Formats: sequence, C-alpha cells, structure tokens
Amino acid sequence: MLEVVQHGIEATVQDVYGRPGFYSQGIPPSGAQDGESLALANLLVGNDKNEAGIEITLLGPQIRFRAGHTIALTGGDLSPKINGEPAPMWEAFAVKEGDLLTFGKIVNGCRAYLAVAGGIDVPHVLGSKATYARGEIGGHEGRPLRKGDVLRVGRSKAPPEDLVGRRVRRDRIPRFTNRWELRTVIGIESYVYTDAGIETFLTTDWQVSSKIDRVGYRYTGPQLECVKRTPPFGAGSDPTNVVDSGYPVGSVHTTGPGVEPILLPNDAVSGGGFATIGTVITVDLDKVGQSKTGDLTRFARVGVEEGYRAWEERERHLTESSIEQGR
Amino acid sequence: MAHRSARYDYGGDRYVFVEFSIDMELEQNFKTLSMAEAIKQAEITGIVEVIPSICSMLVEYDRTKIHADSLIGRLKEIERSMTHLTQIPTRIIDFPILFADPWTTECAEAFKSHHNTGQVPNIDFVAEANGYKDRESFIRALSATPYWTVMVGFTPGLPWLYPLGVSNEEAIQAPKYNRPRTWTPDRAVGLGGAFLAIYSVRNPGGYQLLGRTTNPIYDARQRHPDFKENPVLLKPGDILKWRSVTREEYDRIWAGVEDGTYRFGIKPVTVEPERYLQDPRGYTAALMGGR
Repeated sequence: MLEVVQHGIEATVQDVYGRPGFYSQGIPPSGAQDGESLALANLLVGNDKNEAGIEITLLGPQIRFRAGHTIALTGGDLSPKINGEPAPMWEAFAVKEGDLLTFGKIVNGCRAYLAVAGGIDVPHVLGSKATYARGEIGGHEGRPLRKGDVLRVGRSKAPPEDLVGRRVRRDRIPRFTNRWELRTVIGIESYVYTDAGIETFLTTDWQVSSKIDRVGYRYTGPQLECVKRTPPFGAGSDPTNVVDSGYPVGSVHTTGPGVEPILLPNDAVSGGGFATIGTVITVDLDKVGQSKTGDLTRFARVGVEEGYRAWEERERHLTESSIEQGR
Repeated sequence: MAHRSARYDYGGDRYVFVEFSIDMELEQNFKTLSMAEAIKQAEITGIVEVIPSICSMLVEYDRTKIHADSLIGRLKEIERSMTHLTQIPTRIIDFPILFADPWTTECAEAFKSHHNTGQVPNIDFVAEANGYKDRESFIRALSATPYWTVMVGFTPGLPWLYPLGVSNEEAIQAPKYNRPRTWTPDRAVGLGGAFLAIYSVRNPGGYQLLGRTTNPIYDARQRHPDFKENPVLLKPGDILKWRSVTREEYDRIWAGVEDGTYRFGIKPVTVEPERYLQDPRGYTAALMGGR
C-alpha cells in the first residue's frame, strides 16, 4: 500500500493506452501523457506494460510506502529521493515499509512515472484504470491524488526481489530536452489558414505557455494568417470558427483569428468550433507530455506513414527487449 | 437526396475525417448520422470508433490493422451506396426546465462583466434580441420547439441541440459571451448561435444561460437507474422536449432524480429524414403530436 502524505501540483493514476471507444460520447481516452515512460516503468517491475502507475507533474507529491515493494521511476527527472537520498531512475529497486518518496528540483522533462510491482489496484471504469479528472471517472475516485489517500497495490507477477536491478537499456531511454519537434499531419480544417499562415505555423519556435494541462497545451508566438471568409451559418463570427466538428486527440487549433495554438492531449475535449490546422502523430504526444512552460516547440509536417512507422518502432521497443539486468 | 461528395482527410495517424458540409444544415446532419450507422453495420476490421459531429465525423482506426487510404476507400464505397437517407430510430425525451433559475442567475451575475450587455438573467437579453415582448412569450415559443441532438461531446454527454421545424431565419439565436465564464453550473441550459447546449459538468463556457434542467445528462458513478448501461444519457438524434416547471416542481423532480425514483420520460420514435425535409413544420408537428 501507498499513502499520499503530501500532494504535489497534480498526480493521477494512469495506465498507458487509456479508455478508447467512448470519444463519441465526449469521454476522451486519458492515459499517461508520456505513455512510453510509464510502459517502461511497468516493464521494469514485471507488470503488463499497460498497468496503472502514478503520473507525477512538476512538483511531486510525497508518498509513504506502507509495505515493502519493488518500484521503478521513469519519465522526467524531478529529483526523486527515498528518505532524502537520491533514488535511481530507469531501474527497479526495493523500498521498505515506512520509506518516504519525495521529489525536488526539476532537472528535465515535466512528468515522472512511478510503477509498483503488481500495479496500482483501482477499479476499471469503462475498461481502463486511467483517471479522467474533468469527467470524474477512473483512477482513484475519479480525481487527482490528495493528502491522506491510500492506494492498494496488486499482486506482483514475479517475486519482487527478482526484479531488483532490472534497468532500461541506455539507448532506449527517451531524451528530454527544452526544444521539441512534433511531427504533424496538416489537415482537417487547414483550409481556414492561408499558405503563409501554415508556413508560419511550421517555421515558428513556439513557446510553451503557462496554460498547460491534460486537457490543453497552449503555445504563444506569431499570429497565423487566415483566409478572408465569412464564417458559415451557425459557426460564430470569428474567421477561425467552423460548424462544430470533432477534435482528434493530438489536434491543434487556434482561437481568436489565428492566435495561440492549442494542442489537445489525452484528456481532450472531443469537439468544438475552432478550425483544426493539423494533428500531431500519436507517438509524439509523449514529447508533449514532457514539455513545460518556457520550452520551445516546432511543428514539423509529415505524412501518416511517418506516424505508423514511429508507432511500430515504439511498440517494438516497449517490450522486454529494452530491459537489461544490472549488476 | 442532394448529391454532393464528402471530403476526406487525415486526422493525424489514427483518425480519418469525413466532412459533408461546412454549413449547418440539418440534411447534412441526417446524412452524417445515417453514414455513421452504415459504417458501424459494415463492421470494417480495424475501426475503433465512429465519432459523428454536426456535419462531419471522425473515424478512429487501429493503424496496425488498416491503412487510412484503405479505410477511406471503404468509406467512399459506403457513401456511394447511400442512395437515400435511412430512417433514424430515436427517442423523444422530456426535459423539465426551470427558466431563469437561481443557480444560473447567480452565475450570470458573477460574470456580468463578461456579458455582451450585462443583462441578468440572460433569458431577458435573449428574448429581447429575438423580438419577444416578454420572458413568458419567449418561454412559450421555446417550449413549443423540439430540439434535435446534432452531436454529443466537448465534455462527457454534452448535447448540441438544433431546433426542428423552423427555418434558419426563425431559429432563436444569440451571440456568445464576449469573454467566457470560468464556471457554469452543471445541467445549465445555454444558447450560443442557434445551438442550445446542456452543460454536463461544472465547466467554463460562453453560452447565454436560459435555465437549469432536472435531467442529469452525465452520471459518472452510474447511480441513477436510467444510467445503468451507460454514464451518458443522450445520443445524436435524440429529440428534447422542454417542459417549463415551477420551482416547486423542479425541487420535487430533482429529489426523485437524486433518490432514483424519478425516471426520465422517454418515448421511442422513428424519424424519417426525407419526410422531414419535404415538410419540416408539418412533419415535426405530426411527430411530436404522437401519431
């Protein structure tokens, strides 16, 4: 069992692939914002790669272990410590009853992941353990963790002591930076923007604003030029207004005439009336999840094949092939 | 049926986008819903979910099972085979509403500075803007107009509603707030453009607030018996019938909703889009009259 002693900015129970199949009812998939890191943490501790762990954002919570467990920490380096001593990342290790996990300085990335051998034991809601806080479902009581919460842990698949020392191969550890490139398929309502507007979108180093959460990532930079048009009946008065249509998870639209692109991550709103310029490939949403306020982001135009290739490679890496025995 | 081919596009590497129209036209919404149903029935391997919106849809697919271009090919075949609009089996659902209720009025008061004219409750602003002489005549007109669910989404279960049996010019309309509110009570009924929406959860929003309904449209914990199968009440194509209630009736119904003894008034009905399009007003009256 784990006890939340202090909550941080936002820590939620998440799995990797979330809750597909309910988007037509306005319920987004949710799931880890950096699915690759959570899947690797799960593999380290012998869990199914889609098992539930804890997603920790920027300012971490304090977690006390109420029993001995084998755990792994991956994702952004938020200076994790056990009883005040630096804890390893990308490696399975044992904690004892009473040990306290804390976090400190943000070294890189935005979100760290904690996996425990056996997984976080919360009920499946609509087929997933992922938290969707805005809809108050999944995870622990449908909300971010709070001080005093106690989380149960499932049964470890392997003897926990056998897992200790397993680590992620160095070349399979994702690289976290302050400059990100998001491969993007232009389309859907890109006709609302002029060629020059799309060119500006693709050549700007966008700054990640302070308005970033699991529902939306907002970027600041120049205004995108829009086609001069009268919005259609029922759409609204802004040139970037369209008759409300579906927003893909990972899609980018602007509000106001071409200002402040908003990218919709895993807790996306499923539709709305602003023109989508393009959609970031699924694999690169992991990078979005590790980008934070002040970072720079480029949107790079690709075709769908690039997304397929990247997905195939990521899935191939999210296997035992990325794990090695240490020591 | 007017033949105009849909536009197909890629939505990243996991969706295909199909657009029937860039304008709000009920005919195109009927076509979107018909095609969504036809796609589901075709049981194409690799489709994860069909996500219809107003005049377009997203089709989510599993990239390890089907390529977007093959999927688009299959969807075009389905589109070509749709020679007429199919009947839509749906429901008429009773929606008790307390107009100018204290909760949305309090909200409108709190965000007065975000509003176009600062009129509270907003229903008076909307009534005036649409040429009604007073709140009561506006409420009578709205209650006499059934609303069609053109889309569900944004937040869980939120319906986008469009009036049946009236022309675009006759539709009640209102501009959105100048600046959105940072919160809106759940079950608030709002108007933006010609669309009504019901807020499913406490959420930011910019629609003019008309009242509050006793029907939850989303029940995350699935406590109420009408939510046993699904946390979301409404589906595209559902028809909402507004029923103006007093504060006493509102409180009595709400108590019943909370303890699960009040069941929603739901009547199954089949809509024939082609007949609607021939005579929107007459067909709507006959449909609601319950032949």
